[in-house]
Amino acid sequence: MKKRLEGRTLDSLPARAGSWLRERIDWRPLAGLLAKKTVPVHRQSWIYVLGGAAMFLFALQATTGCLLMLYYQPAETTAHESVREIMTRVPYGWLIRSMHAWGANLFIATVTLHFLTVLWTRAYRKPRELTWISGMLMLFLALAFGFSGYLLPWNELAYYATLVGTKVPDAVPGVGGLLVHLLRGGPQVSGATLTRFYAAHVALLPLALGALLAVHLVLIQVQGLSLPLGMSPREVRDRRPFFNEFLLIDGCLWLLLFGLLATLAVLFPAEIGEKADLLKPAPEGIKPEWYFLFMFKTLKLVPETLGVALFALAALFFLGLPLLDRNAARERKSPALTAVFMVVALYAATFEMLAWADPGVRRPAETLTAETYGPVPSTVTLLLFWAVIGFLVFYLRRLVRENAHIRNLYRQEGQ
Amino acid sequence: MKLDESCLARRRFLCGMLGGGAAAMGAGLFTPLLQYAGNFCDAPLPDFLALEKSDYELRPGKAKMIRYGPLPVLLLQPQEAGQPLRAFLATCTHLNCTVAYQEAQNRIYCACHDGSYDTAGRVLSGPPPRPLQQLFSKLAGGKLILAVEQDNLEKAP
Repeated sequence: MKKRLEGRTLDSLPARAGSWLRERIDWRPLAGLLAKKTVPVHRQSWIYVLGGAAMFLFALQATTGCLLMLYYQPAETTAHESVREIMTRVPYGWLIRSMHAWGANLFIATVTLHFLTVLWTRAYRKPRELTWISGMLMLFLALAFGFSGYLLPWNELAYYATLVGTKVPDAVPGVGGLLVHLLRGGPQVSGATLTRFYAAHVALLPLALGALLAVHLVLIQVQGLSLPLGMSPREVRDRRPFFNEFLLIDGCLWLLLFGLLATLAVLFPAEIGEKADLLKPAPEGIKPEWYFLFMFKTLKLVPETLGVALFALAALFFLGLPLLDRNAARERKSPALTAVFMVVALYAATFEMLAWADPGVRRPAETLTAETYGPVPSTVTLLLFWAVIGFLVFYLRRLVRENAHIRNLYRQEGQ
Repeated sequence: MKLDESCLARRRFLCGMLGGGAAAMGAGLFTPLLQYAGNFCDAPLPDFLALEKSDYELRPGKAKMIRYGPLPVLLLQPQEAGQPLRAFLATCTHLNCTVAYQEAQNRIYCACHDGSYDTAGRVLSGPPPRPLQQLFSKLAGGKLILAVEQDNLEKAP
């Protein structure tokens, strides 16, 4: 017995598990490929954390979403009631739902920032056209996630947002009516709309996004990360191995994002709202979520057909951008395109601000009552949570430095 | 190569700290998640059930099903004369299928695994390990009071 256990300490467990697996399936080529993955270090290398952050937030959305599915009942008569149950009766239901609601906003904000940095550095240029296209499609899917999820609580605002949103494709000549009917599952927004939005939100969209994400990740793995246009390779100070230096830095950011979400959920829990009522007139000052505001404001000012045509054109323009921007492929800047981006950004920001400044719906503030929620105990727990996050981030950073130190020692040894 | 410090010792310390922090985080997340997923604050059983005469009166050899909160209850008036009305939790003690009274055989039967009980709830044949649970009952003011816990019978007016 003693002889058999000799040399078998807890530390040797991963190595033994590795060799057990290797005897059955040889994963070393894959591990070798992943070990080659590096991240360039330069002035703007902070942009490389955004994709990972978006992925982390998506994983968090999938997790909280699955948890919400334990209690949510997607039907006209039960949807709003089950959301109220989640918020008030189910233990920590308010926390899960509030994190999901805030997580959606943070996810869209992160992918938007990711989009803007890739656009700005012209990282879409040859040979990364397909990575860009898969990313753009995922951005559209993210908006579809936001739009479909917004209806699920079946409250007044959700109902009208969906009514207005699903009417937009009506402006498409010829097939507009059909598109509206397809989106709504009937001529009106009804229980049928709720169930199909639910199906889209929990099955169709996740499957599509998962497939695109796989393509996106494989392309990034194979092609490596791009340098901003105009940056010479000499400006790259170092190349960090992804495993296990950059991933640990990613991990620090993910922990901070997780903490931010928990904080938002505790301080500003998601609203329940009033149950949607077909007979109630639309509340004054109704607005969509912030990521649709600029489109909403535009459609208020220009004829609908024109607005929809412009947005469709803009979507196509951005989707096909790598094919249009011939200069970037030759590592040359194109001032004309930069000007176009600036105009589009200025327009979006202005309209976003204008719509944001418009008076919104006046509603009495909701106070959350749930057995597991109390402003004081929840805040104390939150502070403890932040203490643990701070502790982990501190030691993760130490581990990164340690790994870099050891890597440098090896490098010196090699020279 | 000669180093001033031991990389191994530093790594063990760092990993220990990170492991401890991760464990604290895990425990902190696990507790609310378990409570959420377990839904442990589910509505408790009602203390008792009060039935009007028209709801509980049955001819001999007849039975009916009623609800006691989320539980099915079998009301049974045995065929034998002079026997009192009985109320059982209609949940088979084997694997919790709902049982039914069979008038022709004068037995309570579970179709899932061929279990049968007599009209007093005792096991006649099949896999059930225990007799059916009988509810406590009393008559008060013309109403039949049923309760899973005997103490709760007193709570009825």
